[in-house]
Amino acid sequence: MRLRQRYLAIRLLTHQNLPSEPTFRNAIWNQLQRLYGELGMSRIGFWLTAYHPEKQSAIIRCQHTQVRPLRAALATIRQIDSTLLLIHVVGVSGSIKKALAFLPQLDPTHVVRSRKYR
Amino acid sequence: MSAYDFHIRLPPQPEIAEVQLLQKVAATLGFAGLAIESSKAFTADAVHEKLTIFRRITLVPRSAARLRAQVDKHTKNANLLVIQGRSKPIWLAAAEIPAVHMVMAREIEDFMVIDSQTARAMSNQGKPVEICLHKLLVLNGAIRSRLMRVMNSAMDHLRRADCPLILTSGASRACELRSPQDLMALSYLASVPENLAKAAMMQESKVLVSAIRHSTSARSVVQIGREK
Repeated sequence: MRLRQRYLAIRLLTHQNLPSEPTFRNAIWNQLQRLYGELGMSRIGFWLTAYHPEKQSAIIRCQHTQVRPLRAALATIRQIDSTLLLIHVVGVSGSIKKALAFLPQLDPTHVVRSRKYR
Repeated sequence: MSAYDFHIRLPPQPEIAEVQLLQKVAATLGFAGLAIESSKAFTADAVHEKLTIFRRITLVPRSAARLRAQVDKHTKNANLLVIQGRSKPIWLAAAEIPAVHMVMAREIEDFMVIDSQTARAMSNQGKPVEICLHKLLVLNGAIRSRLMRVMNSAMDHLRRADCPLILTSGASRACELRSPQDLMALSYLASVPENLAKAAMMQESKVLVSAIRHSTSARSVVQIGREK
């Protein structure tokens, strides 16, 4: 059975340079592990779908029942490395296409590119 | 959606640029207004055009006996008067004073004194309990897990007593602000059910704003924000 997903469209508010994609991904992984442990992390099913530091935007995927725990974990992140930042969830949707609509600065190529890197 | 963050703490001598940045971020995040705790009074031109700003005073009384005198002293200087509930007698006394808008729980010790009696006292008077989520952001590891455990127990009592809640960020800088939806999500760590978090952010906020506008303290001070 295919599990239903939710995509969180995210804006990263900061005046400093944003970290690289692996650093950003690891920061979220670490925070999820600290808060919920490995079991909770596996239930959330976190995946960084797109990340564009220049456009200060990202799209994160999770299981459709786990949006609230993931948002709570994102809200507790204040700093990544030495960068003070505010992770603002602009919208939640069931498809990448709709998630991109929340972030007009991103286009579908950013999603494809960030997948290729893995 | 008109959401309010009723707890912004500014340093004693805030930079005006810092305050303006904070307000700009708050407006971006979708807030309709803020309650700022600051010793400095702002002029109308320092206020963001999309926001209504209330002046907040938080009292941390040492004993319930001194509470009423402190409230009488400060009631005319603030739009929003909040008591930090450090002990059970303070919670019970604050619930009885009409000039007090709400009682705040912020530290672990504050949540520890919430039991069925305090929750019922607040509920009977229709006075909201402010759940300040700031410590969830700044604490880490074992202390945060202890805070979450104590919050869980306190929430159990508040939920059973059907006590109105207000969720606040307690931010002192722009990067500590969280959007209304993120505050609702953050309250997941404090074991606040989703429907209760939504009610705290929407309905209870509206009720509190109308209480502030109608209270004598609000009429007797110059309101900093623009009336909507």
